[in-house]
Amino acid sequence: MNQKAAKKWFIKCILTLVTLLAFIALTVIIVDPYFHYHKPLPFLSYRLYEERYTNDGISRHFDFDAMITGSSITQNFKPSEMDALFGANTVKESFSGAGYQELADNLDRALSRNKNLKQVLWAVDYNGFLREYDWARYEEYPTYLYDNNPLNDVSYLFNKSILYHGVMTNIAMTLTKTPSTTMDEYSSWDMETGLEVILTTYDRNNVNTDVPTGFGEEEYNMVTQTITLNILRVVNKYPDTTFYLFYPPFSIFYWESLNIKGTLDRQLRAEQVATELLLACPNVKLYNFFDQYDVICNADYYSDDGHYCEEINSRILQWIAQDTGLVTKENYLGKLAAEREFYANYDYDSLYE
Amino acid sequence: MLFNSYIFIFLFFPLTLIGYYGLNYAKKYNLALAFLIGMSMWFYGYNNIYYLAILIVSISINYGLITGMASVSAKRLKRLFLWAGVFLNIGILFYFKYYDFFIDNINSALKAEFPLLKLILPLGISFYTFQQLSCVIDSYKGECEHYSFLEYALYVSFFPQLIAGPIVYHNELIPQFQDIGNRKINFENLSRGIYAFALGLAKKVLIADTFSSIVTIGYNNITALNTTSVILVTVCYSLQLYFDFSGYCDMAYGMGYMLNVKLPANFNSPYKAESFADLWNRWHMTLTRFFIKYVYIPLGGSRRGKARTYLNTLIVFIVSGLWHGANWTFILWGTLNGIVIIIERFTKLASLKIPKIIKMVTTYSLFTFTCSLFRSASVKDAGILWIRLFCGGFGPVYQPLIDAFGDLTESKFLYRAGFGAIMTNYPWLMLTVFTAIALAACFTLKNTQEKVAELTLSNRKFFVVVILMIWSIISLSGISEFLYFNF
Repeated sequence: MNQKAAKKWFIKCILTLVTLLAFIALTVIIVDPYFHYHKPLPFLSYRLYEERYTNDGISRHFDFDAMITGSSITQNFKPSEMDALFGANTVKESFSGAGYQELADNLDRALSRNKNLKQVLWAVDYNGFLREYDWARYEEYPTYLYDNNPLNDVSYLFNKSILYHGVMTNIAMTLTKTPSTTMDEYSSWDMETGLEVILTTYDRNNVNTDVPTGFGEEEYNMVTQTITLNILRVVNKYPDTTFYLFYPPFSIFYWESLNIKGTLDRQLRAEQVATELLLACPNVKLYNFFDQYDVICNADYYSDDGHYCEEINSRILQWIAQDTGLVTKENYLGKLAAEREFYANYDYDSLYE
Repeated sequence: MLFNSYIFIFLFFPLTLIGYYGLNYAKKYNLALAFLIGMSMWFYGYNNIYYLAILIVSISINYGLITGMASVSAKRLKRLFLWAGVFLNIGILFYFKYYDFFIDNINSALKAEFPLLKLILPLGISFYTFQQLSCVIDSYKGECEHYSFLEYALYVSFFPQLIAGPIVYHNELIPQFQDIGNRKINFENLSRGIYAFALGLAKKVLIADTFSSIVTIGYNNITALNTTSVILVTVCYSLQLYFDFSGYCDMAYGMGYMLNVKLPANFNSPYKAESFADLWNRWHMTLTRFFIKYVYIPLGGSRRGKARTYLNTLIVFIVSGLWHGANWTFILWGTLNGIVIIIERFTKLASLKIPKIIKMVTTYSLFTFTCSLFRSASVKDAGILWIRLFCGGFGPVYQPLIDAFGDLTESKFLYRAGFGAIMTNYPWLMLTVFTAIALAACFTLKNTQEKVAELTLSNRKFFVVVILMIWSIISLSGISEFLYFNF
């Protein structure tokens, strides 16, 4: 091996590597499947799929003045319906399995970037009041997409999964003239519903009863911290935006599990604390649908004890547009008393007959 | 910082090469050494600056002891420096690595509640401690030249070998730093180096990490595994371990080459070994030679009769087990390896006329079995795994293991590229084929040192480097799937 030949070979290797890496990076920047650099290009088709990779890009580059956000129970909302009911231009940013902090952080980033964002529909997970304020299910997170540090974009630019799932898929869709995923379709699902389906994941005889049941100062502080450090932090920071918050109508099976565990009182007291904190904000409109008994007690609308089908998402939008279920300082105690009365005394055995 | 990271490949290493050769080109030889030390410190302190302080203190004190020892002539004083060095190095290692294990066992035995330190183990502490220990002992024996602080500090902190070996002796490394002839760009070495680095990176990122995802699922669900799945998981772990360490050694070897420093071989196709003794002369070779030189021989080696030889062998392997980790699993693993070697010597197995392939397969199988102890979180877990191995029954492979392989981007690509029907009908096939190919490679292919030595700069090798580098780089980061459907 002589030095001259080695020099030529080594330089050829380096130049080829640099050229190929530049080509890969440029391809990702142009297609930009998660909208990190620019809005969708008119001549490309886009598949909207991985929420935690896509949502920040939507916030950065899409044109919108309203947003639907929340955990998986918001995935079946149709932004087009919100557009029609509220006269808005809506995007949907659901995060499956999200905690309060994750949603609040995302919303904060979106609001800080988009001064036109004036209406936010935010599902407040009813079963999350009594978690740590920073509870999060996922540890691995594409943080390189969320910050403004261009150096860590290498994880986006040189990433075979993104090349395959994002870039190649979008190019294939474009070549086959497949239209882009619409906001209505984005992250929506169409699962089977009904009692049999629910019972595959919910078993009244196997509910974990080894859980705390009381509500004391510690629980009070936990709810206060969760609501204050997440929801109120964002709500108070953007007083010109209206936040439509709602407690999602979980199924009757959820309420049964509270009774079996002995945590119904604990949950209702947590709800009271959260409600009082939220009602103190002038730019919050809070909705509670726990008196929609025809929905909640009908297993045909649910795929498990909490997730409802898209028909209910549509109804929720209509209820909110009509102010049905609006919680006020005057009626919230009455609503709580009605919840306690109904769900403590419901004949749960009848569900299985 | 990891070799297999964007910052290392795109910034750190190119900057190191440019800075080092640039300073040497300007004839700033000492500054070039200082620059390499600075880069090594950045490399080491990148994830935790606190542990950089430990490294710097350790280097400074050890250098003080070595120079102190050289400056005195009285044997008693030299011995004082020696023991101070031994206690210091072993003490630091004990404090960070073994204190909690020790206290935990005392607490269990005495039903006491002595508090644990719960320290995070500083990266590579076992490596640089042993390296410095060897230097202190050699100084006492008069086998250590006088080195400048820069040379000594670079010997300990030289980043290609700092966090995972090889465990290099001072007289192997420092003379290479001292040789000004090594300070010029050598394209032949750069070519050999990038080739070794590409092979190592691919072994780590494309093979070891793939097996890692399967092994993690297996070991997290040991009670769900049947015999078939346990065999698959343990074989996958033996391959993960092999390609992980082999890949790391190749990368270190390659980077050494690119800096005109030849690091000692540390990995020599160990699964081609025909006995355990042979295997340990091929696996982590620099650790084995360290134990032979500084533990086995001082204990008397094989000079004091058979019984003592066996005992010395066992002691070395128990210490080796403990060196690998502070857990009874490692101690038992080391003991088991020692016992097998003693049996081999006792029965003179090596001299028996058994076909080579049978010896290789037997050695590999037995080693793979002992590795299940190495990987288990506790001895109890290893026990459960062995029960599942012998009593789990043959049946279909545990589905999540197959799913983990199916989740790979490459699998999804193959699915779309026309293999969908086969993958659907025989979901276990791809994983089995991948495992079989990896296993066959271990048994048959040449190792990287051999490949580098006989490297010809052909177009074929050019494509190997480019394809492996690109494929590995785009595999450094993936998409985490957030599919948990709940709220």
